[in-house]
Amino acid sequence: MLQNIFDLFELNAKKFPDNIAIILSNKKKITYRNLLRDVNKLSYNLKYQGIKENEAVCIISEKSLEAYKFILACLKIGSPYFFLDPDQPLDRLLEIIKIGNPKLIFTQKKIDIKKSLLIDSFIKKEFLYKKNFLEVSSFISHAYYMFTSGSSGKPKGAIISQYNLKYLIEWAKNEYKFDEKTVHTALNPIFFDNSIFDFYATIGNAGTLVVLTNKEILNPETVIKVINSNMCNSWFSVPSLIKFYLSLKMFNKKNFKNLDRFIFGGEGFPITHLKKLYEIYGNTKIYSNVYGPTECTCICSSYNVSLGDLKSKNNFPPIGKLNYYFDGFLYDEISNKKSNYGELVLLGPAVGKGYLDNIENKGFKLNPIENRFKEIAYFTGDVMKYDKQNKLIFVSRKDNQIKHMGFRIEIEEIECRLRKIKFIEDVVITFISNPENSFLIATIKCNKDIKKRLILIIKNIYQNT
Amino acid sequence: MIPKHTRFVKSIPENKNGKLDRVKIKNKIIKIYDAI
Repeated sequence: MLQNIFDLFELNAKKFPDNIAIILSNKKKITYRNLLRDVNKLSYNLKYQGIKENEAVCIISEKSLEAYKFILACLKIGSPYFFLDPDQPLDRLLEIIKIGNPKLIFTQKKIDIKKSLLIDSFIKKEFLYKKNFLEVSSFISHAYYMFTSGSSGKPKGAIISQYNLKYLIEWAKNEYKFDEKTVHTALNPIFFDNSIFDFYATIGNAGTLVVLTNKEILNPETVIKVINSNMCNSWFSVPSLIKFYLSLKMFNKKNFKNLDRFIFGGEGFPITHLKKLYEIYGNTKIYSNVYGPTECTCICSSYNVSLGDLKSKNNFPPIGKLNYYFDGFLYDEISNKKSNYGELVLLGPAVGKGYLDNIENKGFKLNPIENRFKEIAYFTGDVMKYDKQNKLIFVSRKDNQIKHMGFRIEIEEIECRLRKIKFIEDVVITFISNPENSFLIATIKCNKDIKKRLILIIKNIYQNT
Repeated sequence: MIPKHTRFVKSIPENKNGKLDRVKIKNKIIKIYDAI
């Protein structure tokens, strides 16, 4: 009987030992057999560092074979991991590390952070094997933390358990037929929540993950070459990336022949751009619009876009219906009842375990409508409505959260940071978005000292023009 | 140095407490950028 997510991976590794689990753009690859061997060794190494169940590990790295080994090793010993973007400013990294409170930090390159170890040298270490040394995790162990923007000015870390993920993996198998023949792209950054689907749906179902780094996805030739040569049959990215590739005319009938399905999510896909993709590939591909918050394993609905949707006057395709393992309703706060229009509230086994430090736990609340079971619901902050076919349609955000290139940004977090600048008295961020372009505008009220200096500067500008 | 996209305005909408008014600012910005 399966005890944890790692068991599922081990089962796949024993069933399909020679299948390629992960392949990189430089043709470096690893089979399920070898990945299992390496991960078992790494999990012992981690245990030797004194890591206990639910003590976190932080990994500051791009996508690499080693990074994926760390994920599996952490799952085996029940240590939640969290990935951070190596290109982020050191201050922000330190701020997130403080919240995540990891026992150990692993980095791809040398970074000036206490307790940090280099991934490559740690992986090569040989520790003395002790029998029965390793206690394995269970489904209730925390699997990972995913950090998102927080409106209080501090990033917030959503906690996801192994149990939460079990459902995502099963669903990918049932809904998208993910299995040992699946060759899925890993285009999403590893510290971004879309990557959760890439890794767990593929490796959890014995498929092959074809990895492109963040720099590589900006090179069209590499993307085409890697996806075509590995015969990828599944794609998942933010719509912004597809829009970018459309502008480079990367999509044509010769490229991506083996792809069966485009999955896109993380932000709305403007119908005007989706039409362009459809005009190229027509019915030869399936176009799946996915939706879901970080706090609920990143995907809670999938909708296959039809020709009718593309002809509609809507700006974005529908959200559709919730995945079978989610329950949910649109909540009308005033009447405290389910409604046809209101905030989407999610329930079920894939609803995460809250935030670290209980900061801003406002998203996780007791189910307000049915309180017999004291069930925790996740309030998404997304206001939706049902259309005539009972499909969910996104209307707006309840708060000031925005989606930019698929990233979730609480604009209050940017405002908080700007207010820390000495000459700024007050600031309001406005997000301007249309299907063609989106950008942020900061309206700044300066304090009196800088005002005088600015007036002089402006006078100079006008005198010189 | 002033960033390239900086715009200066004579007044910014404020609420009674002297804080910037988010809604009025958004409306004003939409008008400015529609004009552009």
